Amino acid sequence: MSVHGRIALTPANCTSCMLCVRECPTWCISLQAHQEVAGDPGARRPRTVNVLDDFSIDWGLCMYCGICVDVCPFDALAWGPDPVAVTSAPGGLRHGIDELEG
Amino acid sequence: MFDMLTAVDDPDAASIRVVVHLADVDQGERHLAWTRVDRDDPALDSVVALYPGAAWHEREVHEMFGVRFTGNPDLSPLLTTGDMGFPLRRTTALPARVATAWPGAVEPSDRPAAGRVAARPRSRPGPPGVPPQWQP
Repeated sequence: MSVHGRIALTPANCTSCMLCVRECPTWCISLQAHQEVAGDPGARRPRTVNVLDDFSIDWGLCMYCGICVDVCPFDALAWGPDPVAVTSAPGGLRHGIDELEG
Repeated sequence: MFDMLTAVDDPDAASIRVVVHLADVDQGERHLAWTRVDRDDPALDSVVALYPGAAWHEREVHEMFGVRFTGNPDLSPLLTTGDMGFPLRRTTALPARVATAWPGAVEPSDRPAAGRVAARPRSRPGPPGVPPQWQP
């Protein structure tokens, strides 16, 4: 049986497709991204890619259902072994990219 | 033996289904009985005379769905102040889903690359399970 501690994010794999955000039944994930031109900027139709700016999970709302992990097409979200750290700060259960990474 | 009494709102059928669960411990049998009441004027005879334990279940169903149980001596609200409408009817908006903006409304293409025009998606997805009339 796999260990369901918390959900970890690999930002390099994330394409900002918004699937996890939209599938989350508790609305605990939020994501901000912008687009940049990739490849040859002089091309007639330059290719654009999504660049992840901000990703956060509110562990106070998350019910650890794992739907986000299941829907992620690029395995940017995966179960990690560590539990979510306790906090006494207001809003301390909302973790950004830095806390979710690894 | 009386186990529990509850209700299910069914706006499509303009009715509320009142469900009662009865169990016979000796025989190992369980029975689910239900009836439908008119959604606009829901009234039903109380079973308190038969099962005194059903009193608070009827109180809760009255509070949450507005079903009047004729013969129940006390139908005062248990959990709410009684001025919230009928919280468990499907037409009652869920405050948490109305006051909070859906995080899924964000589109990366709303912030396009420098010099590029924001792409307009053909259709914007709405929050799943939230009726359109709840959305701002």
